[in-house]
Amino acid sequence: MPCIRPAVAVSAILLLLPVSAMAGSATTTGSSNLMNPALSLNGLMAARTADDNPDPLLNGIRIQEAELHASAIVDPFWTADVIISAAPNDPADGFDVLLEEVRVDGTALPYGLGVRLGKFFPPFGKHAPLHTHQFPFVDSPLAVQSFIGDGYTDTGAQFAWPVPLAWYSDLFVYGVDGTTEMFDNAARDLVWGARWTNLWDLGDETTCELGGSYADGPADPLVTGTTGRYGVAGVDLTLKWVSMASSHGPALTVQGELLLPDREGAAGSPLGWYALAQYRLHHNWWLGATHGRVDFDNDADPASDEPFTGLVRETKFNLTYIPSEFSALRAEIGYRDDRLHDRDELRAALQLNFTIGSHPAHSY
Amino acid sequence: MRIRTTIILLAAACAMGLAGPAAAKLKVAATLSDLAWIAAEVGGEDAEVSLLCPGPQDPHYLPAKPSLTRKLRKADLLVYNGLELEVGWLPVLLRTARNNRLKPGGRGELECSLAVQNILGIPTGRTDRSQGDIHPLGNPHYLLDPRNGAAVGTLIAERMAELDPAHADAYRARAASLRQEIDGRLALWRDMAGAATARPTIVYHQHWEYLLNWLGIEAIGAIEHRPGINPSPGHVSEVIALGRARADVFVVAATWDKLDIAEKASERMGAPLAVIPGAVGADPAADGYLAMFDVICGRLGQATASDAAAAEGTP
Repeated sequence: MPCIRPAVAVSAILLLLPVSAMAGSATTTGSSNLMNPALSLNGLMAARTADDNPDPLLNGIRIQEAELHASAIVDPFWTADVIISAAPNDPADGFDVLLEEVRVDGTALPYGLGVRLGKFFPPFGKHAPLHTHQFPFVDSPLAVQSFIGDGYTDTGAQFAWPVPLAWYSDLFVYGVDGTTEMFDNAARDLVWGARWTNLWDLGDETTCELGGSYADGPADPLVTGTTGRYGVAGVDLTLKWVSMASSHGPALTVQGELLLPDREGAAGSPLGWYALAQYRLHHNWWLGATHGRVDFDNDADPASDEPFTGLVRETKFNLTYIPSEFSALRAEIGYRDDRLHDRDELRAALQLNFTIGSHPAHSY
Repeated sequence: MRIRTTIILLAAACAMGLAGPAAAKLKVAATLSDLAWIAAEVGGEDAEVSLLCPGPQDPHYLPAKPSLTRKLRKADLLVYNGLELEVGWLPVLLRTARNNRLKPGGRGELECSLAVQNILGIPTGRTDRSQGDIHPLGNPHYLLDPRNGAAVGTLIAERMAELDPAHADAYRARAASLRQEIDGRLALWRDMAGAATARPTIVYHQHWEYLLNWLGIEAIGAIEHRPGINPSPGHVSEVIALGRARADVFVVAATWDKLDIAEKASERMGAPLAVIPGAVGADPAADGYLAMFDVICGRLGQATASDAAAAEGTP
């Protein structure tokens, strides 16, 4: 019997070999992998330290995020994208896995109209719709963190209309469930929002973009300090210059964004803004600088029942080396003056960003 | 009275309906300046061609400006290079444009590489990103062989004829005329390239495979040995040593390449450098597809004629 078993096992393996070979080219979607989605995976790793902040996520070497992106044409009517991310939630290497985006975009509508259904980053300003690996600095600006929140991704529908003007102009309106960040899904209500973006060519190499955004929905009282509605308005301006003279010639981006929250029934007028500049020094080297501040005014503090008022501001510089389109190394230092918590923080970070799989798009 | 007004209005509407399409030009968006020039030649007065990537811009790295989507939104036909040359920006622009006439697989989009019989540089064996930002479907710069330009003209004419049957004969006639003109200049261009056709070259980027194949020039090395990645000092030294070992070698770079690196390398090799346009409009003198080959072949000939004595000492 012991002699038969290995023979059976070997026979079984031999019988399975052709099946395995076939399985290599067979998929659940058909007989070949030609129709499979384009897949890419992004990894972000950071070594960080903050001299006056005990937050373990700001001190130590961590995987900042791993993100898997699948993208494909569904049929003649839709394209689809699914983006799943895993990010640390505690210092003991615990991770939250999140469906960041699961969306389809309609491709059959006339007149340049667009529809997006599913879970997605609603269009709000320039920074909030970015995935973590697309951030120009290691963290998002204070104003975005405070008044829109990192990870403003939600489920619903978005419509787009190309405004018939003499320049590029798109109007987006959306309604989403309101489950993340500033909004509270306990109420059976939607978050409504809109964005109007305009871009002008100032020659072949330079553009100027001006956008306005608004979102409004049932507030999360713990974060916003109101039990009524929470609205936030934003204005953004971006100037971009990319030299055509050389493949990796000089390039400059200057961007600013102002956010104004509106909390129903709450006192105070908080506001936040940031400005940033990125300059390509030489071939693969980028230099970045940013300054931002948030003026809290009777905002809710999740840690206590007392509303707080005060100023937090920060300045950051970074140097990024991008050896190819698939990896980047970044060194960053920053200073945060946090008058709410009476902290003066000096922060430093080294970050590695890499992508494997299909070729990434060059976002503008 | 009401009936009469209705009849007049209906007649006007019918007239507009009939006259509209006949008077309207076929709106074509072309990704590359070479394709825009060919499409304009083939389309003539019956087509209106707009360009996405200006000639001086390296087409691998075109910034996906949303303003470019205005051209795509209006287009009845998109002609693009294919072989993943535009992979970094065209999908983004198409998605933003939301023009359902240009849907993948539809009649409104035309991948021009389909006209090319012999795709060069298809990777064999192991293929991964350790080899740089390679094009897994083959070298996409096929328009640098003018014979491929003629084939692309024919392909574009057929699609234009399909979309605009009223002018089908005109499109086909113009494409045939373009082919005739290109065929008539092939020998002249080879003559202009002169001594270059008998000498080996070191290229900066693997951009010139089709051009060199057509002219019969042997490429013995590349300064940028992994596409899209800055050459390491060690590799540049190896290439310089390779160039020094061949007294007759010359260096070829595109106007948008990192010319500081190319110039230093050619200096240290003691080899002439020919900086040539990689696309229509990349150089002011290369203001058309035919003029581009005048410039390319002329500069190859000039660069290699200047040290023809070195060529005579070819080992």
